[in-house]
Amino acid sequence: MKFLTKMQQNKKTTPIKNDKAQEQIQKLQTDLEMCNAKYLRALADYRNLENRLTQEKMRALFDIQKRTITTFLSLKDDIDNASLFEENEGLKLVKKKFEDILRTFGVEKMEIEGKEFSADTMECIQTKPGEKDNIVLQVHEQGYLLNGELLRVAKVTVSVTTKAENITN
Amino acid sequence: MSKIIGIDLGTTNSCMAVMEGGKPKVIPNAEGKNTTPSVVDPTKRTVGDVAKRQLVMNPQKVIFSVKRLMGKRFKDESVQRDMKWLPYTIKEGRDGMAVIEIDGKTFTPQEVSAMVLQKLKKDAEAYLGDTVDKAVITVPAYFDDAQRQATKQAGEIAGLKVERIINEPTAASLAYGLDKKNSHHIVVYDLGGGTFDITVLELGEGVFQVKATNGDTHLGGDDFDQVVIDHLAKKFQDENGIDLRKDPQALQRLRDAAEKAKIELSSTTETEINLPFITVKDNQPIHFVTKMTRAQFESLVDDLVQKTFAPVKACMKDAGVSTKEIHEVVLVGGMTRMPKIIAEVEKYFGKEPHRGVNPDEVVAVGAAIQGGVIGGEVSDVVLLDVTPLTLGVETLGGVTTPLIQRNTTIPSSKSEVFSTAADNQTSVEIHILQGERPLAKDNKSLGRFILEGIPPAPRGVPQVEVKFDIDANGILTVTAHDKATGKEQSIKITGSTGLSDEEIEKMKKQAEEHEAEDKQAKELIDARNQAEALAYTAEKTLKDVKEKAPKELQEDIQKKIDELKTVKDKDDKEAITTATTALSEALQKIGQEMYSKNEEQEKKDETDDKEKTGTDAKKDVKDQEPEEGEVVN
Repeated sequence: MKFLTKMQQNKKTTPIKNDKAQEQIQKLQTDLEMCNAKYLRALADYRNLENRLTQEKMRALFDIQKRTITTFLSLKDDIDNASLFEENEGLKLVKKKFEDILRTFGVEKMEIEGKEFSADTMECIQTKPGEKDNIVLQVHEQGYLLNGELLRVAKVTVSVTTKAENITN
Repeated sequence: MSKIIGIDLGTTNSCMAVMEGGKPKVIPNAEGKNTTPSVVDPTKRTVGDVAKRQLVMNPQKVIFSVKRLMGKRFKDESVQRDMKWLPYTIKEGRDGMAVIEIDGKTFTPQEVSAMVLQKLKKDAEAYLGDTVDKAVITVPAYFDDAQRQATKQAGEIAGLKVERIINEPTAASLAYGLDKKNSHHIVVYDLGGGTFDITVLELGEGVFQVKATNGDTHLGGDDFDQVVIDHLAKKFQDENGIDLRKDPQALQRLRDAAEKAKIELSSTTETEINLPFITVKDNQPIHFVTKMTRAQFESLVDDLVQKTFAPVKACMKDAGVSTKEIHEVVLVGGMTRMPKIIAEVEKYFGKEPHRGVNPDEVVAVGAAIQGGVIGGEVSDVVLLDVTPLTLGVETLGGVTTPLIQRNTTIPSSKSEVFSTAADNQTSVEIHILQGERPLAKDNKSLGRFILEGIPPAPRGVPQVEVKFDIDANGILTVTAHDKATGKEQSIKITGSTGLSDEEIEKMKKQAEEHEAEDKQAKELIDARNQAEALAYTAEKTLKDVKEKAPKELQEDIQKKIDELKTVKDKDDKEAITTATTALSEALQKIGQEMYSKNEEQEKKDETDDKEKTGTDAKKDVKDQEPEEGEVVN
C-alpha cells in the first residue's frame, strides 16, 4: 500500500521523462502480453487435451468392448449355423443364453433382409438379379450394433435389375 | 495458427498425422481407425470404408487405386495396362490426360483424390477441434513432375494449402529421425497393400536426395493373402471335392481366416484355421479345420518375398552403391511385419532394419514431422525438463518420504501434512533429500531447516504442511507451515537438478544394487515406528482406563509395554513384530473388558430407566456422549 501511494505521488509531481524507463515499461508490457498469450494458449491446449482425453477414453472403452464382443460374434455365427442343421434342445438353450448375454451388453442384431442396402452398416459381397435395385436378398453374415453404434457390418447379397447375374468377388 | 497435417495419400489406404507438443500423433478417422481406404464413390461422394463396402455392387462407380492414374496421360503404357483390370471406365480427357467416367460424367484423378483428402481434412478438424487448411502430402519417389503437380492440385481442390510434397521414403526416414544421424545412404523397403517400392536415398547436409528408386506396382499384401486363400481352398477341394472360391459366402469367410492366419503367424509359429459349417454337401454340413505353421506359410509366399529382391538389386545397381555402403535400412508398409521379410532384408543388407510398431503409419508420421518443421513447431518446442531423482523429506526413524517422484515433469508442486513424533514437541526439522533410497542417510541431503513455535500438543496432533515447489528452472522451494499457528518457514534450493548425468546414474545404480538390504532396513524402521506408536497408545490407554479394567490385565499390559520397549531399539525385526502383536492382543482384551462392562452398565441402566422419569432419562443420554479429551475408540 505504501509503495502504491508513493508511486502515485511521484506520477503527479515528477512525470517520468526517462526514455530508458519508458522503454523498459514498454518491453515489460510486451513481455507480459506475450506471456499472457502463451499462458492462455497453454491453458486452452490443456482444456482441449482434457476434453480429447475424455473422448479418447470413451472411444478406447468402446473399442475394447467392440473388439472383445466381435471375437465372440464368430462363435455366435457358428451356433447360428449349427442350429440350422441340428434340432437339439440343448443347443437352442445355448443359443438363447448367448443372445441374452449379448443383449445385456447392448448388442442388437440388425434386421435387414428385404430392406434397402445401406453401405453405412452393410457390405455387399454378391449381387443377384431382382425385381428392384438395392434390396438385401440374403444375409451371409449377421450385422450387429453395440448401443446403437456399428459393431459389425452385415455381409449381404443385394438385388440388381440389370440383365445378367453379376457375381463379382 | 492452424496446424499443418501430414498425409500419406496411399494407393490402397491413406493415413494422417500431426505434431502435438513436439511429438507426432496419428489422427484416427471418424470411424476410429488410423488408416482410411483410398476408395471413393464420386457420385455419392462417399469415401473410405463406406465406399469400399459397395465395391462389389457398383464396380463401375466405386473408384479405388486412383493414385495409379494421377498425372498420367491416357496413352501412357501404365494406364493402358491398368485399364485392363480396373473395373471402372478410364477415358481420354483434356490435354490427353486420363480421366474416369461414371454415368456419362467425367472425374479427373485429382478430383477423386481430393475427395479422400476432404474426408481426412474433415476428420482431422473434428479430432483437433480446429480448422485444418495446410498439409504436407507424400508421393512415391518415382512420381514425376506432372504426378506431383496433380497431387498438389488434389490438395488444393480439397481446400488444403499443400505446403510441401515430399517423397514417401524421405518421410519414413524423417519418422526414424535419420536426418539427424550421420548416415549417407539409406534404403527404404516399402511393401504395402498393393505396391512395392524400394529407394536408395543419399543424405547430405540435412537434405535427402533420391539416388535410385524401383519397385513393382502390382505386388503387395493382397497377393500374400491370395496365396493363402488358394492354398486353403485347394486343400479343402482335395478333401471334399468342393471349390470354396465359387461360393461368395464361403470365400468371404476363407478370406477373413487367411488374413487372420497371416497376421497371427507374424507373432506365433502355428495357427489353426477353424471354419465350422463352411459349406453343405448332400444336405450335410461340412467343416474346415486345418493347421498352418509359420514355416509352411513362409514357403508358400517365398516366391513373392523373393520377387521383391529383383527390384532391390536393380535399384542398388542404379544407385551405384554396394550393400556395404548402406548405413540405414528402413521398413515401411504393413507386410514388413512379417518375420521372414525382416530376416531376408537383414540378410541382404547385413544390418538390422529400422521398424516401428506401426509400419503403415510411418510415412504419415514423417510428413507430420516435416509439417512441424515448416510450421516452426518442431524447433519451437518448449522443452520441459523432468526431475531426474526423487525429492522428499526425512521422517521418523530416518526414513525418506518422497514428495516429488523422479521423472516428474517440472514445474510441479506437491504438499503433504506431517505431524510430531513426540508429545509436546514444539519444533520440527525439515530435512530435504534427493535420491531413490528408502533411508535418509543413503540419499543426498539438499538442505534442512527447523520450524519452531508449534504449540505443545500430544504426538500426532499438530499438522505441519510441507510443500515442495519446483519451478521450470529446477529451483526447489520447500515450505513448512503449521496449520494451527500459521507459522511458516521456507528454504530455496537451487542445485536440486544440478547433478551431472554420471552422478544421477550412480545414484540410480546404487538404489538398484541396495534394493534388497534397503527394503529390510526400511521394514525394520517401519516395525520400530509401529511399535513405538503402539506403546504410546497402550500407555495412554492405561492412564485413561484406571480402575475400569482388572488390575492383572493392566499389569500384563504394562509388562508387555516394557518388553516391547526393550526389543524396539534392537535390530531384530521379528522380535519387535512379535512383541507388538502380543501387546496389541493384550490391548484388545482391555477393549473387550470395557465393552462388556459397558453392556452390563447399559442393562443396569435399562432397569433403572423403567423406574426413572422422562427428564432423568434424557439426562442419561447426555451422559453417554463423549466428553472432550475422553478416549472414545
